[in-house]
This record gives sequence, structure tokens and C-alpha cells, in this order.
Amino acid sequence: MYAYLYDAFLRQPKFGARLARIEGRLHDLGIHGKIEKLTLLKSFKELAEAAIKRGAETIVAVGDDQTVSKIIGVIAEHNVTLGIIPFGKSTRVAEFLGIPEGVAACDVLSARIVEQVDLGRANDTYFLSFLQLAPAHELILECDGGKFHIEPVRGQHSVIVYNFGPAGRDPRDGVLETVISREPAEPGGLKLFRGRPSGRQSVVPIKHMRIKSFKGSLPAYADGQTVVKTPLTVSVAPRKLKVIVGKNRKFV
Amino acid sequence: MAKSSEHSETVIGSSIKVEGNFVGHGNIIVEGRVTGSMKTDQDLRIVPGAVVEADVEARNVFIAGDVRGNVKAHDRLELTESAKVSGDVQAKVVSIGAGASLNGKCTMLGAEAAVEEPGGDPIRERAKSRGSRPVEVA
Repeated sequence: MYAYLYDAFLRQPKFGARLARIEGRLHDLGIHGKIEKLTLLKSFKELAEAAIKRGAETIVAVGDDQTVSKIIGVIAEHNVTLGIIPFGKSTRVAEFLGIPEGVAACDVLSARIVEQVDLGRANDTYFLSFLQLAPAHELILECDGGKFHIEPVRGQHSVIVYNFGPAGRDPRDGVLETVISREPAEPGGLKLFRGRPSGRQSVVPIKHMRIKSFKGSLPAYADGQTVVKTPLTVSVAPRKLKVIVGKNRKFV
Repeated sequence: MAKSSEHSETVIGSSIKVEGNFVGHGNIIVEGRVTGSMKTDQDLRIVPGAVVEADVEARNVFIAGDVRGNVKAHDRLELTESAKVSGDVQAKVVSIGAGASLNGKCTMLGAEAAVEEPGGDPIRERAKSRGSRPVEVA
């Protein structure tokens, strides 16, 4: 049974015609289901939990990367599958998973190729793509249970922990890539992985890491939106999320 | 598309330092500073300017920087002209460029020890009893 969760921005009239075509295609394919729309009164977490209680086995996020990010925490804790119908400007997650925009996304849902991918976890918050720390001078990263630690030297550094990489790093490999850059770096910037990083950048794969700041508490952004603060325990949750993917996904 | 069996590569850039026991499963490139120990089942490359105060072990080891510790390469060890190694090294194949500095014992791994006639070269005899071959310098 499918449940469709629409993000709030889809109420804009410009999305009306596209949504109607998509809903028609879902009916034709026999995978239509209850549609719930995000409102001020109900969060995505509440909508998803209610759908799961009603027996939904697949929760489809209709929206952009932020829409997906809002739902994964609930989906990860229940034995359900995530589907995506991408809308909006920021749909890198869908692109990485091989899910096209428009009506073609319905065909991907119908084909139902399911992969179990890793999630990252920062304290109690799950993230799908990346976790970015605010730039800082003094940080210490204790890795893999304290076996080794990393300290930036000289100047301000940014730290981004990737689960999905822009270069198509396998999201099932059971590790997170920590990129430490001397100057602040754009998340998802393709230059980070094209060719070898310069001496200003370091890439360290980890499974578990504790991030501490020497001066107060630093904010960090999970998938560009949810704020968590140091000290942080960052770890990989291997194969935690079941997600429907397309044939053109960026990993085999 | 990325291969699911590809191991992640580690790059320790010049702007960080790593302390402790680092164990990796992919290639490692050191451009910065490492203290402790470092091990991988793939290749290790220490570039010019890198400082490694650690015992290191990898499949192939390429050194162009400064290493203060023991080095074990299961296949090949290469020292370039800018390499400075203070410690014992072990490898199946060793290549040392003109100008490299190596202060320590060098032991060749694998292959049977040379079979010698009784009363032969005493150095070879001692190496044979230890199960290793001495380095031969042309």
C-alpha cells in the first residue's frame, strides 16, 4: 500500500497541472494511494507515522531534497520503503538515485527496484546526503572509537561528512567520507571529488566519529536544514534505509 | 558508475595532522603529518613534505617524504630522491632513487632464502637461518 506525502510548496498553482498528470499516471499503473499534504498543523513526521499505522508499506515523498530529508528519520525506524517523486529546484538526491522528474518518476516507482542504502547519524538525527559543520579554527575529530584523531592545523576549516557523494560514491559501502577543507567548501560541489583534492583538502573514510570544538558549541546542518550542535557523535547506519531507485542511479 | 567493490581512498592533506592507529582498506595518500601507526591492505603514498612519525604497512609503499618509523611493504617499496627514512624497511622489491636517505635495516621478504654450499658466504648463511635474504647492492 502506497502513501503520498506532498510538501507545502506544491500548493502553488504552477505545480497543479504536473501533479494532475502524475496522479493520473499513478492510477494507470495501479500504485495510487492516500495523498497527505504538509500543513502548519501536521508535520511530515506525524503524517508519515499515521500512514504507516494505516498499513502503508511505501511512503512516497513528493517534493525536493528537503522533503526527503524530513521523512527519512521516520522511515528508517520502521520497516517501510521510501519512494520519491521529485519536484522543485533542489533534487540532487533523486538524481543520484536515478529518479527522473515528472511522469517518468511514476514508472520508476512501479518498476520497484529497491536498494538498502546507508544513512548517516549525527546524535539522534539521521541524514541522507551530508552533514556540514560551521567553519571553525579549533576542532578535534576522534575516529573509530578513539583509535585515531584528526586535528586541523593553521586557520579555519570546514568539515563536511558525506554519505552520498557528488562523484557517485557507493551509499552502501558502510562508510562516511569526511572532507576537511582549509577554506569553507560548498556541499555537493563537484570540484571536491573531481581529480585529487588539493593539499588544502583531506578525505578520511570513517564509520564512527566524535566531533568536539575547543571553543563552545558549533552548529552543524544535516542535509542542509536540520541543526545539531557539537559535541557530535557521527556514525554510519549501514543499509538502514530501503529506497526505490531507478536504472540510471549513480551506483551499481 | 562507481563500482560497489571500490574502497574509499584516504587523503591526509597538509592542513591536518593525524595521531593514533590508523587502519584503512583503500589507498592512502599522506601530504600532512601522521603520528602513531598506519596500515592498509592497499597502497600508501607519502608525498614530498609529508612527515610520518609512525610504523607503516601496506601492499605497495611509495615514499617521497620523511618517515621516522619502520616500513613494511608486502610487495614493493619505492624511495624517491627526496625520501628520508629512519627505521627498518621490509619489502619483496625495493627501489631506492639516487639521493634518498635510508638509515635502518633492509630485509627482503618472501622467496626462499638462497641455498648455499657449506662453507659459503657467512652473511648468506646467517640470512638463511633467519628465513630472509640479504639485500644485494650492485
